[in-house]
Amino acid sequence: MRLRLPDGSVYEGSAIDLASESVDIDADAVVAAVRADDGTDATDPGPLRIDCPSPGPGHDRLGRVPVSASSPSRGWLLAAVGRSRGRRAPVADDLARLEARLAEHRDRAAEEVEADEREGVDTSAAALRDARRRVAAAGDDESRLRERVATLRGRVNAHRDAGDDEATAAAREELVSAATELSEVETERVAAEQRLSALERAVRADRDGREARLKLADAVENRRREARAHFAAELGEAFEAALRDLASLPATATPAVDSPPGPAALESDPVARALAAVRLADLSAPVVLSCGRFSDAEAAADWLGVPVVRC
Amino acid sequence: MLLVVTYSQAARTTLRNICRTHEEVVVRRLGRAALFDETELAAFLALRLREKHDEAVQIERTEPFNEFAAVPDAVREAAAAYEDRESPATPYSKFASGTDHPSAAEMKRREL
Repeated sequence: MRLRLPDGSVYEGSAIDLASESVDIDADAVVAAVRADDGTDATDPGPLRIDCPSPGPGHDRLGRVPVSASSPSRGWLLAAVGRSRGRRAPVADDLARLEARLAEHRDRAAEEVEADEREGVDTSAAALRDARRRVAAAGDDESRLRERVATLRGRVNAHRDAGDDEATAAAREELVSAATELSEVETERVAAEQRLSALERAVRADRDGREARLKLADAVENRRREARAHFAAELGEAFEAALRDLASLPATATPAVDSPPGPAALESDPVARALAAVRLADLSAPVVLSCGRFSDAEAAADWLGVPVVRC
Repeated sequence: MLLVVTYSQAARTTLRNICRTHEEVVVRRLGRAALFDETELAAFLALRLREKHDEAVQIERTEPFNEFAAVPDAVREAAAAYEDRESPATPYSKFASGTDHPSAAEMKRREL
């Protein structure tokens, strides 16, 4: 590989050590450069350039140590190892099919949201809440008016029985206006209820979609778990051996370790696990190391069996 | 809607078959329970299930929950305020004490 820094200096070889140089390049930038290498004109004055084989399967997870996951599981690492070696889990076809279906469902859901927006249909939780509030308010108004109508009716009867024509007429007038208001509020309430049930029907369709997506997502997760378990079983022994071998290395660049750690201690060390996985993996693009453990980039590249950039 | 819950393996199997053959009445399937539409056909199917499996079948009639009609303002506001609390670790009893929010014990005593 050939690496050119922003200042124009060039490094070549399968083990490049930027940590010992006084250059300020962070690992993320190097990883990005490894992945960005597309074989375009090398004279392009980019900030940081690396000419190297393009990253194959597995490099997405194992292209740098420490890896992106804070505590990578053995299955997660070994699945990437398996991919790098061109191996497929028995569930791979199933998994690919389910993932495609899930993606399709998600696209469809996004389209439906867009369509709803275009048509001005709002099926959000807030819209539904609003509709419920209106139904409740209209219901309250209606019962209040219904009570008032009953009271006024009683008053009309009482006045009439007492033979007070003037008071009867006044009460009747009030009754008529309350009854008119009641029928208006009733109409409102019915309209609010219809709007709410229309929304509830629309939301029911949304929920059907959610349920289908949830089921698919669960199925995808299960297949992935099976794939991880498959690779963990297939590559577990080699992984243990790599960890034992790593433990037997002179722990030169590992600070704060009094005695050389045994394989058991390494098993719980995310960096050691990642390194063991990189050793097992079949990667051709460089791996970026920003961890201790090796005395220099040369030793790391030797043990890992891949080109190494150390930051 | 009708909520149909089963309490035996046989009843669960029958419910599953009903759901498969009468998709149109099923609003939602939830493991060994299902929500049916409120139609005579749904009631007919639920009743047949009960005839067949008796005490292993529970049928409830549900209605949409409207918090603005059924729940006092104080309870609704307490729920909103508690979910909006600053510290996720605060238990409700501590959150509610010294405020106007009802205590859990008070709410437990009062029916909707």
